Amino acid sequence: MKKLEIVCPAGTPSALKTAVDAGADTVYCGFRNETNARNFPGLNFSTEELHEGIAYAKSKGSKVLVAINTYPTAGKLDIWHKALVDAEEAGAYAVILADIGLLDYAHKNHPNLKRHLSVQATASSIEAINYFINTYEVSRVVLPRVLTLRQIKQFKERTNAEIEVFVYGGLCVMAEGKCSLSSYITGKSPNKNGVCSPAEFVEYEDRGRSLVSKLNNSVINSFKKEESPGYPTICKGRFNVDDETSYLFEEPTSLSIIDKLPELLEAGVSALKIEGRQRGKAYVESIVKQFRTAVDAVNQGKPYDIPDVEKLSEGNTNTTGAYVRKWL
Amino acid sequence: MAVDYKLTLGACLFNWKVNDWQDFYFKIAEESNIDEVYLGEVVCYKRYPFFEAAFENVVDRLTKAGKKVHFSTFSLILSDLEMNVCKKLIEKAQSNTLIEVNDVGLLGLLKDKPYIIGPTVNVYNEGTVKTLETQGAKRFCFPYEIDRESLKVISAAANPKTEKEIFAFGRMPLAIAARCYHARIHHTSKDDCKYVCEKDYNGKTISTLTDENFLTVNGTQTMSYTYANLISEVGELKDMGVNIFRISPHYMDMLKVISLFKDVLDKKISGSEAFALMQPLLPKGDKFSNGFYRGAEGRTYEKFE
Repeated sequence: MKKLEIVCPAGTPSALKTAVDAGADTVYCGFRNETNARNFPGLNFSTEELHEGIAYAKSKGSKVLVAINTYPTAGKLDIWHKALVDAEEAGAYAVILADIGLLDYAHKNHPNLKRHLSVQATASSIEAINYFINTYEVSRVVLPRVLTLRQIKQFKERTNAEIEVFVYGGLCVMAEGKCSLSSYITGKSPNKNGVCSPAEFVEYEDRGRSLVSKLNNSVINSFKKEESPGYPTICKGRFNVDDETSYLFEEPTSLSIIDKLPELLEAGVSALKIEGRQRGKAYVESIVKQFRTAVDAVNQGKPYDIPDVEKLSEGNTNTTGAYVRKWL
Repeated sequence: MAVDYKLTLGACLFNWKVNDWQDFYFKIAEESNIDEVYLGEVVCYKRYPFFEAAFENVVDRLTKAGKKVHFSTFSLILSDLEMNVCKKLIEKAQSNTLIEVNDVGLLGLLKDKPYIIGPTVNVYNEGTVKTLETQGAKRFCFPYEIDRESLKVISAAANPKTEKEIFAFGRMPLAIAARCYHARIHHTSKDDCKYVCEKDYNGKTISTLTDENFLTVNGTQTMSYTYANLISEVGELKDMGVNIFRISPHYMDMLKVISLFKDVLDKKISGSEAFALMQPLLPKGDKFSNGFYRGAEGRTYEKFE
């Protein structure tokens, strides 16, 4: 019988160990540079740390994926090409890629290194999925968080590729890989720089009765004393339209579909991705353990108690996002 | 002097009422100096049926006026509803009509046909340009957030026959979603939207809590508040081999915008003169930007020397 695989984030070598010890089937991570989409200060792996991390994961029966999923800068392709070499030499199970040129290069120059298609490639239709499988022989596709469960099920009926979906963590409200909101305001974007609304542009200003969050001098939100101040990601901000103030795009909330695991298995999904390479060890340990328990039950066809995962979430609230159509 | 550039009109990104849409293109056919016109719905499949009936008429009028027409397609393809519209356009495309691909889902379907890569396909480097050249891409209109240094490298590395196009005028699409924000503004959902986006011919401006104009909502698309304007940069773009300039339709005097671009490209007036003449064409208070091109925040404008 088919089983669901849990794919867990590791922003640091110690988070990798934590995830493996907590029961991750697979861990994903990236190098400490602009080649991956969580290029945040204090995160990620040197080549040496990756070697050690992979050795540890292998000793416990877990796999390691290396995300090389930003879009290479023109004239600097060698940095991304080196990342492929380093990932292969370290023994990565697969690399996660988004750029068409890089997929083509990896396909030709690293034929034995498995390729997964990153969420950043925005493969949102069966035709897109099959283009990447047929042209670059990717073995797995990570779907953007813009699809309903029903659409995902239809994909599986029309492709042999392994499908991986996000099940928990930070939620991109816009189609991933097609968002330049961050660079419009700050000059730095997920596609080009591996960052979104980066911390060096963030400011909190105490205005007495309220705390205002800003991104590159523009107000993104304002919190009363009793509210917990969220991070000023543009798509989770509060804005004015005519005379009304609202969370126009989305509230500061996280994705969780931990209650939909049997449906995912039935839809033919192979792997469940947990977001959060920027989160600490405590988050990784807690969320991985809870998914491990739930997935073990589902994989055996047994019922499971839906754990309370809200306290781990941004804004302490969760949404099922586009997976359930009423969100649209 | 031989003409060494082309002016193109991008697909109208907004949901104009079909009569206004048709009148606009008839005017473009008869009165503008535009060389090529992209036609098609890029944002939302729910808008497409309204234009379908007028589509043939508009293609016909533009073609008779000597304008080359290309078909634009959706920038996010999520379902068979969208894909089937694209497939129909691919079938309809004649030998000198190219499909503008705005979602990677079409790449596999166009294997045997030449095509144009639109600005929402991620082409940030020479590796991707070369790969797609071998698969049929004849022209690239680069992403909105591409910068000048990248353009230089890519242009030098691309096949000399590959055409290079830049989005030179208009509000920039910055993001696309499954969710419709225009519907949300009106407290409804995408499925029950009642086409509320047709109220805002240049999109709906949203502002920060301190009333700074910030972004523009256009259905499922989120756009810049500022209007990209590279009229002062066309000379150096041409020098680096980017010589197709795309002007995006807005509800303003587009004939004047087009003729100002033409005058600058023909060296009749300078970029800064044209820029000054363009400012009054914008809706009151609105602003231009060229930040992405300079490698800075997209919303900013700075004259480049």
